[in-house]
Amino acid sequence: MARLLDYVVIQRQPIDLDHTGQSELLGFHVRARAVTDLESIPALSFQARAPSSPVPGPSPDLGGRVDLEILVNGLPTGVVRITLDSVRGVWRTFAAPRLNADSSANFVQFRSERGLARISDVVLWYQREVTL
Amino acid sequence: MARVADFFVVRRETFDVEPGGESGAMVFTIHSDAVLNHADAAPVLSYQCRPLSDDSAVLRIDVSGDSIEHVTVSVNTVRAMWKVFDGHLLHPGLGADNNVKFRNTGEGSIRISDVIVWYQRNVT
Repeated sequence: MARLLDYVVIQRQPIDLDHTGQSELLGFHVRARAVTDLESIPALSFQARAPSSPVPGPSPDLGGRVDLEILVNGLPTGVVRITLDSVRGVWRTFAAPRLNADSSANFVQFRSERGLARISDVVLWYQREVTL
Repeated sequence: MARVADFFVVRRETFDVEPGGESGAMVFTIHSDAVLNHADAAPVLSYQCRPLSDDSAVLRIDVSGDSIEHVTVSVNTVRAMWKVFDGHLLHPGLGADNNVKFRNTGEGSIRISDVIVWYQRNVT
């Protein structure tokens, strides 16, 4: 049995968080024998930018800054602050036991604590036990 | 049979793409057992980039002649980038050539390095 890298594409197309407090919930499944012990650290990667353009509504224009909270199956992994209206890759690691390794769905949630965000190309990188 | 991830380092060295210019086609191969027809197993192109001036670069990326990315990159700082793209653009088999090309239609130059294609395989 070997422990090997796998990944799942969760979201290809851009999603916009247009105001503070807005969130987006994305579901996905990991494949059989995903490792969920404490020795394994999955990584969630995504593309992000903090648009500086003002948008209608109560949210102020924060000039290209967003505080983005990322939750996996309802548990926070931390807040990522993104400044400048320029696209870049971001990733966040978290404890593998948060993943559902059985057939039930997993969920990642992006929530804007303040500011606007555009997110795309969301991929979860994780390990599986594989018989070769 | 097991599904695993694999990757191909297309280019390690840095290269610059000037406004109106292109990188030239960088050839890579993938294994014949590549999984290319599942949306959740789509391949990923990752790279590092850095605009070289205050002017924005506009990157257009082609894989084997088809456009997969059109993105404006500004601010003179290095960052990691990646793009999920359709698996049907790849030609599996070590004898089949695939290529990736970076074009810059923006006003400023851009420096690129560490170009990697990630994909999945069914290995036995």
